[in-house]
Amino acid sequence: MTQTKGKAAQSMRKQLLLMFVICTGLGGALGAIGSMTPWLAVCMALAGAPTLWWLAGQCLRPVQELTTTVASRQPQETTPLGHTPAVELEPIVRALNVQWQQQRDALEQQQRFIAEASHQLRTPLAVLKTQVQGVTSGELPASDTLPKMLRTLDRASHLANQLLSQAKVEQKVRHAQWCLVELHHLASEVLVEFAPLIARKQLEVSLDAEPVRLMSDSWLVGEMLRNLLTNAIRQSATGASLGVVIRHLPDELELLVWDNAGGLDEAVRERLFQPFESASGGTGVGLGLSICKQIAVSMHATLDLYNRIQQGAVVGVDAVVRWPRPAHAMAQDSAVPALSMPHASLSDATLRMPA
Amino acid sequence: MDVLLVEDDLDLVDALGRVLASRGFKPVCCADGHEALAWMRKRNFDAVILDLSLPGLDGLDVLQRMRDLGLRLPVLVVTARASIGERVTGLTLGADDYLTKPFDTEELVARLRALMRRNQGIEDFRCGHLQLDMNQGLFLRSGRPLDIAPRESAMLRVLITKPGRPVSKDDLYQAIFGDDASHQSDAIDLLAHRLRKRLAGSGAALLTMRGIGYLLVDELGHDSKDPA
Repeated sequence: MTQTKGKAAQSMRKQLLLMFVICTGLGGALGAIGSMTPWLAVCMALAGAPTLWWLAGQCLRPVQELTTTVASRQPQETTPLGHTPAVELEPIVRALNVQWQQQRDALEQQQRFIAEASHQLRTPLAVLKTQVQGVTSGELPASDTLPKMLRTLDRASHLANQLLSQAKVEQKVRHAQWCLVELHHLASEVLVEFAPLIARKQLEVSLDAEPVRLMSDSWLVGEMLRNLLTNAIRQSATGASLGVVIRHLPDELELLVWDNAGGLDEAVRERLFQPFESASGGTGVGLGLSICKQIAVSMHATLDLYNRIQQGAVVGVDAVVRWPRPAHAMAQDSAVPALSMPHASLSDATLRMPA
Repeated sequence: MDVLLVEDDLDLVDALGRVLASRGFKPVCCADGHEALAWMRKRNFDAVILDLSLPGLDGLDVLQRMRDLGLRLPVLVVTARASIGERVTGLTLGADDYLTKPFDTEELVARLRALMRRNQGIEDFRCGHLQLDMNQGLFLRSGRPLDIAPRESAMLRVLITKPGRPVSKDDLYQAIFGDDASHQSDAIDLLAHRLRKRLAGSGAALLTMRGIGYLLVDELGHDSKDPA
């Protein structure tokens, strides 16, 4: 913004200098044509310089006024400028106001996040303290309270991990390392990584993946998949089934994480993408989907949740990430292969509804 | 079982030291990297539990110097640094296993014992009531030999020696049939089907991760709590 202002002032100074040169030149020319000697004409033109200087000051006064106003503001001040010193400066003032509005929104969002994070972090600590004091004083039975304390600790640990993940995602989104990511290989690696959790709940897991390569940041895509899988695993009952599908659609590339853990309430769907919002009865801290959405937006993809309906009943949730396919890829790939996967036939027989 | 516990958080040292002592270990605790190296030079330990964030000398530096000094004792790194990059660095520098804080003490003790056994050349693989007797090459179920066909045994051997990790069908095929390509593509699925029947009631279960491979699960160790 300061750069724009500087350029405007510089441009005005150049114009005035040009006027001065023209006046001087004109004076000289008139002198040569007419009776005045060129020297006399140049002297007359020079005599007009103070007038020109005064005029320049008048022209630049709105810029100076705006400069003083902006410079005198406190760093944290983000209220819009109500008064525009000159019509010519309106685009600059508008741009400044937009900038401050964005800054204000970001600050408010950060403040809300900190307030919510403080609440979320302090609550389990308060619970733990109460439990410890209860056991120490003999008011709470240790055999009953200690397992509860372990669960509280697990929840606090999960929250700490999610907060750290959120911070890292924000950093990575700003400094993403774009390269060709083999999505099917990445999904396989992440599922292998999740094997202990899958084993713990004895889940039937499947990966139905067509070879898909996309230009992205492999850490960010992996983190999004980890969060979606964590949600699916957390929601699933012991022995349930879940899976990952990766496929080419006519205009898009799709990554789908499905579970059979029941559906979502329509009223909470959009809210779930907000930080610290979780589905009713959910055990998460409500950061996973917000992190996923942030990652999806950063890579120009969409993320949606759908209830999967089979024989009239909601059986589970499909978390669907879609990337627009590059035009050249579509041209090379005019015949989109039919999906010969069990989940595809399942989808054919089911209705997918916005959750 | 002498264990050197290198950790600068005194509360954790106190709690973990007591747990280890109650499980039959003889822990020596120190909170500084230089002190840890000095202990390792003057006494033979069976294993080291090493935190990465230490005052003075960082845990990764301790690991590097240990290996430079030719100290080969097994190291279990326990750290709050959870990034894959640091994990890889730790393992490259010679850590034998890696556990992220906060950890489960049962898991820590199990891993520590496994490291010490491996260091002594004892490979002991168990899952549920199943145990692989490496000397005889037999599977035991609750101490008695398991009635199992050779190919099922070969498949189970691959799975039990890779605890917590799924094994792909290709790897299983290679381990069981070698380069013999005459078997049907569903040969592994058929073997898995038969193996499941053998494993019934053994506390070990064969889980299918379709598109990934097969995973042997300890049913006795599993619970239904949410993964943290």
